Parts: sequence; structure tokens; C-alpha cells
Amino acid sequence: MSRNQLWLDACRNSSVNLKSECGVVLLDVEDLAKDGINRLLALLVGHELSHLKIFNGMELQCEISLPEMAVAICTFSIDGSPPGIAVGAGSSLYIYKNFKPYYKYNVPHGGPNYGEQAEITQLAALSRSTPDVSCSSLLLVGTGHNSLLIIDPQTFNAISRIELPDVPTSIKSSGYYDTEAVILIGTPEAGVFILRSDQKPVQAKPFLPPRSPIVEIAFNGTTVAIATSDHTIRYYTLQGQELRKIAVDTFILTITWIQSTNQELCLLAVSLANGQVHFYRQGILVEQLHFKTYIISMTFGRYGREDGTLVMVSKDGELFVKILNRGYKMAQQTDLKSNKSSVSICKKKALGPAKTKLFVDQTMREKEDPAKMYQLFQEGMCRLHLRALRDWLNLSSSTKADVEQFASISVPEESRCLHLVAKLLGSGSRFMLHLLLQNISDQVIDSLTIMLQVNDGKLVLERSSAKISLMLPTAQHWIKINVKDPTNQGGEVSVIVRKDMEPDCELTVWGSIVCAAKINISPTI
Amino acid sequence: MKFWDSFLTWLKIKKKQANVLIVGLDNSGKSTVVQHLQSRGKRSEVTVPTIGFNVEKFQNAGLTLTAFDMSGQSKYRPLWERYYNDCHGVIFVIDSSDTMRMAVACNELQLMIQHPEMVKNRSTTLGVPILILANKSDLDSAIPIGQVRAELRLDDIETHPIHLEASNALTGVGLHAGLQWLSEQIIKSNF
Repeated sequence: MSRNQLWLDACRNSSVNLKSECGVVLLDVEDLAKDGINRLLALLVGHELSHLKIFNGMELQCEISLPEMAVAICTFSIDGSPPGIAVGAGSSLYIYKNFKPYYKYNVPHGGPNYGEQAEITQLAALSRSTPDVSCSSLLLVGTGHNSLLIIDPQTFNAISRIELPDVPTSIKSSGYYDTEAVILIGTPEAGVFILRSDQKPVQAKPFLPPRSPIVEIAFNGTTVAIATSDHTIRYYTLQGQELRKIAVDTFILTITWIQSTNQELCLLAVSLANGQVHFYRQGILVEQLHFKTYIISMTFGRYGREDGTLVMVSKDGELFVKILNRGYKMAQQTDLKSNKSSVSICKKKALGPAKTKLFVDQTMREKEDPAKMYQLFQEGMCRLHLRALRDWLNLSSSTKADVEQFASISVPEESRCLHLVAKLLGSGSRFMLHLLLQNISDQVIDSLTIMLQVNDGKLVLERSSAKISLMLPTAQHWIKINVKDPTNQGGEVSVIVRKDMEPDCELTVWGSIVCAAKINISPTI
Repeated sequence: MKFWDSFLTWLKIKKKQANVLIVGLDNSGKSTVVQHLQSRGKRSEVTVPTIGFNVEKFQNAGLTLTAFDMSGQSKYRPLWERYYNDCHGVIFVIDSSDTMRMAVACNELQLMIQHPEMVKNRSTTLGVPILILANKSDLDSAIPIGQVRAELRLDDIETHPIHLEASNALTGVGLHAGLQWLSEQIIKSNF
């Protein structure tokens, strides 16, 4: 087993016989008994008789026959009871609950051919409101009278009726009807329409103009993938902007989104007429599966007790169950770059600054009078220089305030007989450091060492130490040291005055610190 | 104090402590196994799906075992590897009647034995001993033990001591034989 495969082969079963008369199998997975185990619904479409098979794991739980040609299936949830199944056949909706027939609802007629029942063309379920309010859902029914009905499956009232220019053949939805829902409706000849429940009055707006016939629409809430019969899949944003285009070699049979929140995975599965199923991540082919006969239907979701299950049915009626590998890592980014040739990114995001109002106004002024704008700029620059220099002078004259006694270094009580004043002179990259030492005691102090050290910044000191052999009482001693600041970034110099002692004293340092100071040099402009 | 502890252990007055990790897919019977081992047959009425993990203690063959009963739901499975670094033994529980997810169980087992924490930092050359319980073996839909061995590809595992035992956590069949093997392996590995 290769360690990094995307899918685990959970099961392959040809004995379930999911071969339908019309070659159409519609799949869905739902927790129908509310016991935490999701069942698989397979609707085998036939001309005279359709079969609905419900599987629990690999076992057939029940089989229901319909005396008509079914066209659509969906599951819907109701507050406080197990989810129901809705099957659209002819002009009726067959509702099943607890695996038993429950109700037959005839779609209200309307439109120009008054008196003639409308045929159901497509079905979808849409959550009514957020799960904390209610988890019941609404049914979206597309009819042959060019309209979309929104039906409450509890009371069977048509909440809304939306007229369309063509017959809806594909309905995909996301969100919650009461707050913000997006419904995408595909039609054979009039293109794709979008419907938002938060925009009143609710009406279908054109999303995409008609192009080649639409095979399938896949919608994951943010991105719309549309497969067309000209062997291409296009990704769109909800605003209708084309994101990318994937071209494949042969006819596309069905597409579905594969999204796993646990693994932060978002793939598009594409079933092709040559028996392959491709998996695209951001338009790049990451995995492909091969089958003897092509896959006609697939659904992704929780099946049984396992999340991330892909259920597929082949043309021969074989059932394949694949489960996402938890250990799969998207590591093969580099070698997949080669596949990028088939992918063309249509829109590149504009680089550079956003065109704010300020930016646009300034550009306009510059175009009108360039000479004046240049003068204004130079004047502003001079003012800035002057102001900076004035501030710097103020700062350097108050440098004395920056000179502070080291608090962390302990100065012995008996040694407090020396007065140190440090002064920094100069305003440019060269400074003069004036140190004034004064003996304020009435004793003679001998053998003093003054040490200078650069703590911070790239300062260059003329010398790092000075020695004073003898200081009489009240005597003053000036030391002048040149300091260079080549980078003009400022820095910090510490001055430590040490009383030297004889080496035989039991001290780790030869001597004791008498006094110390720290001088901050501000950055020069 | 350390010497005193080891002296007491030698006298079999004080029991050695070991951590045992109990993992497996959801609905395989991990919590039921722990309940049976802890209460010796007495069983609470309902077992609910574990959220996160539970910690239980029980004793066996001179060992005080601290069992980390991990949740098997797919969203909690990344939690398992957090406990690999200080476990001395693993009980991997499998639902033998769940044929569809045998591939998932096999994959999870492979992911576990290949995890660096399970191989490195061990004094012995072999990894942590793994007891595999083919649970629910009493069900009619359960697959035979030989098939479980083949489906999990246990014969290919050479890095860890492995023992497969058919079990029924409701009646306790196979649990004690399996735990005996695990305890011996833990004592042998001289942690």
C-alpha cells in the first residue's frame, strides 16, 4: 500500500445490482432513522417502474417501487421526526417517512397551460433557518411550466413561486432560507440563474449566459463549478466571475465537491466517459481512479458511521465505496505543477496599490500642474528637514536628562565620595563626551579607572578606558572622549568608574565600582 | 525513595504502573471493553459514544493499568497521537462485523505504527505491544478471525509485538486472555 493515497477502498459490490433501465441512478446519503447511521438512497430510474433502494451499510434495508418514471430525489428534515424522502415523478411528489409511503402531493398547476398539471423536473432541499432555531427544511421544486416552487413539506403550502425563462433542470442551494440562501438554477437553453432569499422581491437573476449545454452544476456554498458538454469545467464566484477553467479529454458525466473540514480538504471529483474519476484541487489534478465502466453517479458525505465517504455507482450497477485517508498529505505540490498546462487561470488579481480616493485625487493634481506640484513637494521636504533639525537640537541640549545613574549596579556606601557628570556635545555623527569627576569627600582618592563601553548601537569610542592616579579633596578632573556614530542610528554608552584594589583582596573583580552612568545618544536624522 | 518503591514492587506489595491506550473506530466497543475489564462483568445499562476520551484504572497481573479510552469518531482521531509518547501498550479494538470500514481500521493501525512516537525513544528494539481485539465476534455478520488478520495485514507488521484475539466485550470472552498477553509484554519490555 502506498502510504499517501487519497482514498481507501472500503467496498466494491456488484451483487447489489444498481443497474437501472434508463441508465440513471440518483444517490443520496442521510441519517433516515436518526440513529447516527447514514443510509444510502439509490433511485433506479425506469420508464414504467422506478425503484428506490435503501442500504444500511452493505445490506439492502428496503426497496420501494414507484409506478412512474421518477426524475428527482431529495431528503428533507423535519423538526422532531426522522428525515423524509421526496421523490418527484410526473406531476406528483411522493413523500416517504420511516421507510414507508407517507403522502402523495400534486404540484399546483399554473402558467399558460392552465388546467394541465405541471411535470416536476428537479428537486432540492434547502434548510429553513439556522440549526439552533429549527432544522426543518423546504423543498425546491422545478416544474415544466418554467417555474420554481418553494414548498413547506410539513403543510404542503407553496411559500413562493418564481418564474423562469426556461425549464429548471438543475437546482443547487446553500445557506438558510430565512436569513441568506443562494439558489442556483440551471436551464437547458437560457443559462444559469441565481436567486437570493435575502433580496426582496425574490426573483431569479441571470448568473451566466447560455453557452454549451450544462452537464452538472456543483455548488459548495462559495464556489460554483459548472461542467459543460464541451469537455470543460469552469469555476465561478457567486458574483459570476470566472476563476479557472479545466479542460478534460472526454465527456464529463458528473461532478461533485469533496469537502472535509477535518482535513481542510476541498476537491472537485469529475467522472469521465473513459471510466476515470479525476480529483482536482484548485484546478490541479491530484488523484485519479480508473474503473472498468464509467461512473454514472456519485455522492460524497457521511455514510454509515464514517465521514468523508464517496459512494459511486458504475454503469453496470456496481457500487463502490471509498473513504478519505486520514493520513493523506497534500505534499506532491511540486510534481503536479506539470499538470498545470491544462489549467489556465483566467483572472489574475491586480498587483500594486489600491486606487483610493486620495491616490486618484493626487494623480489628477499632478497631471494638471506638474511644475507647481514639484515646487510644493520640495518646499514640504525643506520644512521637514528644518523641523527635524530643530527637534534634534532640542533633544541634544537636553541629553543631560538622559544621563542617569545605574540603578542595577550597587555602589558601596563608603565609596560615595566621587561625583560624576557626563555631558554629550555635538549634533552630528561626531560627538564629544565630557566627563567631569569631582572628589566630594575630604580624603584623597587614588588609583581610579574609568571604563567606557558601548551597550547599544554601532558607536566608535576614541578610547575605552582612562586612569586617574590621584585625586585630592574637592579636586575636579575633566576627561574628553570623541564618539563617532557612523550609522547615525544612535546608541548607548555606559561609563563605570572603578576603584582599583590589590589583587590579594578576596574579590572576584579587582576593585569595586564607585559610580557609573549611562548616556543615551538619540538617532540623528 | 526510588529504591524503596522498587523494593516494594519486588515484594509484589506495590504494583507497577503502566499506561494503556485504547483506540479503534467508533462503535467498535472500546468503552464496553474498558467497562468489562474494570467491573469484571458488571455492565452499565447504556454506553454512549465517547467524546474526547475517558480515563479508567484497573489491575491485572501485577500491573496497575491506566486506560485511556479514546473516542473513535473521525473528528477525534487526531487526538490519539497526543497520547502515544507515554503509553506502554495499545489495545486496538475492531468491530469484526463492520466489513465496510475494515480498510479504515487497517489504515488507522498503519498510521499508528508508523507514527514516530510509537517507534522511537524506546529502550527495547521492538515498539509498543499492540493487542488487537476482533470484537463482536459473536455476531452472525462477523468475519472470521483469519480474515481479520489478512484484512489488517498483521503478518506484515514487524516493528511491534502484535497479538490478535477474538472477543466479545459483552460477555468478556477473549478479554482476559488478551490482557494477560499485553501485561506480560509490558512487564517484558521493562519500561
